[in-house]
Amino acid sequence: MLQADAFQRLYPDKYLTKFIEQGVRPDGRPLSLARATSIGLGVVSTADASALVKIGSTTVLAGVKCEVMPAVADAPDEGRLTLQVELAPLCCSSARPGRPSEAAALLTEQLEGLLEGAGVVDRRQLCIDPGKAAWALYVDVYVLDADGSLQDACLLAVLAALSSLQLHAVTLDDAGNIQKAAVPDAGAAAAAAAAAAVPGSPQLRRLSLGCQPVSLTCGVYLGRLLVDPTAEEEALLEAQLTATVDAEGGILGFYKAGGSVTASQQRVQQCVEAAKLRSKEVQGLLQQALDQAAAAAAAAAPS
Amino acid sequence: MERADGRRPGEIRIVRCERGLLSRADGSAQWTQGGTSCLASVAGPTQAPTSAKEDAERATLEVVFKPRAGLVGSTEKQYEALIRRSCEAVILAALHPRTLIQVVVQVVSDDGGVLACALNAACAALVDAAVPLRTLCAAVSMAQEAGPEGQLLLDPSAAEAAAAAAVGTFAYLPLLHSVSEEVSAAGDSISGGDLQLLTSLTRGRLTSDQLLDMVEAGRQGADRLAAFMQQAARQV
Repeated sequence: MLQADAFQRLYPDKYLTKFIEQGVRPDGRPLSLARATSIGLGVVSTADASALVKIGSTTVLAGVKCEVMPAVADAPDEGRLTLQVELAPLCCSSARPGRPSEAAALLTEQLEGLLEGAGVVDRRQLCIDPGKAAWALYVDVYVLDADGSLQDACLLAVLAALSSLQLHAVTLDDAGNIQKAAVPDAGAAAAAAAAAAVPGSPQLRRLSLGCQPVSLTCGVYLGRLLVDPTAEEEALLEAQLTATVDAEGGILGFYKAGGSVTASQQRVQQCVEAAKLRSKEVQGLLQQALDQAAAAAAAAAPS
Repeated sequence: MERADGRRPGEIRIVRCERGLLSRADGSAQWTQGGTSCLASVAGPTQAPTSAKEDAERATLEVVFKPRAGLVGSTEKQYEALIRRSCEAVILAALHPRTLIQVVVQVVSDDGGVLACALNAACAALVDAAVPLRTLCAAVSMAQEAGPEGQLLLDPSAAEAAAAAAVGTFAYLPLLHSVSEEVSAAGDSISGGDLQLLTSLTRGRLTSDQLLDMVEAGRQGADRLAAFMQQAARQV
C-alpha cells in the first residue's frame, strides 16, 4: 500500500484527479474558494510605500520609490511610472539568479498593460511643475514565494502599495531646485510618518487611483473550474484563465495563454463572475489594511 | 456605420497568405492583413541543441518574435509566450519526442493587430513545414469603440485600435467545432459551448456583455480566417 505523499509524487495527475472528483482540493479548499489573503502595508521603511501580500503561501513584496525628474519634452505635464517584477531565486526551484526570467518579463508586461490600459494612475497627478519637474515612480515587485496565481498576488501588492503612497508636497525654487514644503530635509522619513498622522495634511498627498483592478486566476481541470490554483495544481491544469475586474464590475483584462482545452462562452462568463466576487472580498481587505495603517500612524505620532 | 477605410464593423481587411518564400527554412509563410504583415519561418523538428530544450516525451517549441524595428522588450516576450502556447495546443508534439521546433516571426509592417497576424503567420508556416497539427489556429484582433454607441470593430487598424476604449486579441480553434460535438456525444462535457477560445489578451475597460460579444464576434471572424487558411494550405 502506497503512502499518500508517495502516491502524490509518483502519480501527481491521479492524485489531483481523486480530489477534484470529490469536489475538493488537496489543500482542503472547495473548488471555488481562493486561499486566505493578507495585506501588510509599510513593511519596508526605506521605500516611500510598500506592501507585502500573501495569498496562501504565495508571497509578493511591492515597493514604490519616488524620485523627482525633469519633465519630459513631449509630455510636459506628466510624470512616469516604471514597473519591474523580479522572481527572487528563492521563490521556486526553477528560478535562477541572473537575468530576469521569461516568467518575470511576462508578469511585468501583464501588470504594465493592466495599469496602463485601465488608467490606474493618471500621470498628470505626478506633475510637480509643468514643463519643469515631475515625479518618477519606480514600482519594484519581488516574488518571494511562487505558489501559484502569481499575477493576482503581484497586482494586489502593486495596488496596495500605490493606494498607500503619499507624495510630498514640493516646490521649485528660482534656481530650479526642489524644496520639500515645510518638511525639514533631515529625518524626512520620521517627519513623513508624523505628517501622515494628520489626514489631509498639506505636506503629503495621496494618489487618487483611476480604478482598483483585482485579478483572479482560474484553472480548468477535468472540465471544472479551480479558483486560485496553487503551483502544484498549476502544473497539471488543462488551461488557465485570468480575469481582472474593477470595483464597478468592469473587465480590465481577460487573459488566457493557450492550454490543452479551449474555453466556451459559459467558461468565460463563469471566470468573470468568480473574479467579480473575489474583487469585492479583496477590496474589503485592502480597505481594512489601509484603515489599520492610518490608525497605526495616528497612534505613533507625537501628540 | 462605415469605418474610415470603408469597411463594415465586422469586415476583415484583405488577407493574403504566401507560403514557401524562404528556401533555407523547413517552412515559411507571409501573412498579410491590410497594412499589417508578418513573415514566419519554421525550422524543425530537428535535434534539440541542448538537453535543456529536450523533452523525452514530446517536441519542444521555441518561438522568436522580431519586431519591425527596435529592441526586443517585454511586449515581444509576451507575444512570444502567447504564440508558443497557442501553437503548442495545435502541434502533435508527442510524434517527435526529443526534438526542437523553432518558429521565428518577423514583423514586416505593422498597422494594428500584429499579434493576431503573427499567430496566423506562425500557424500557416507550421502547415508549410508539414509539422503534424491537430487542427488550425486562427487569431483575430478586436476593438471596442468608446461611448455607449461605440461599435465592435473586427480587425482594427492601428488608428482604430489607438482610439478604442478596449482592444483584444483572441485565438480560436475554429475547425474543432465538429470534433468537440462528437466528443461531447460520447459523454464528455468539458467543451460545453463551441466558442473554442484558445488564447485571449485584452487591454482597456469592457463590460461583461461587451467581452462576451467581443469573443463571439471574434469567433465569427476566426471562422472565415480558418476557412481561408485551410484553402491556402491546400494550394501547392
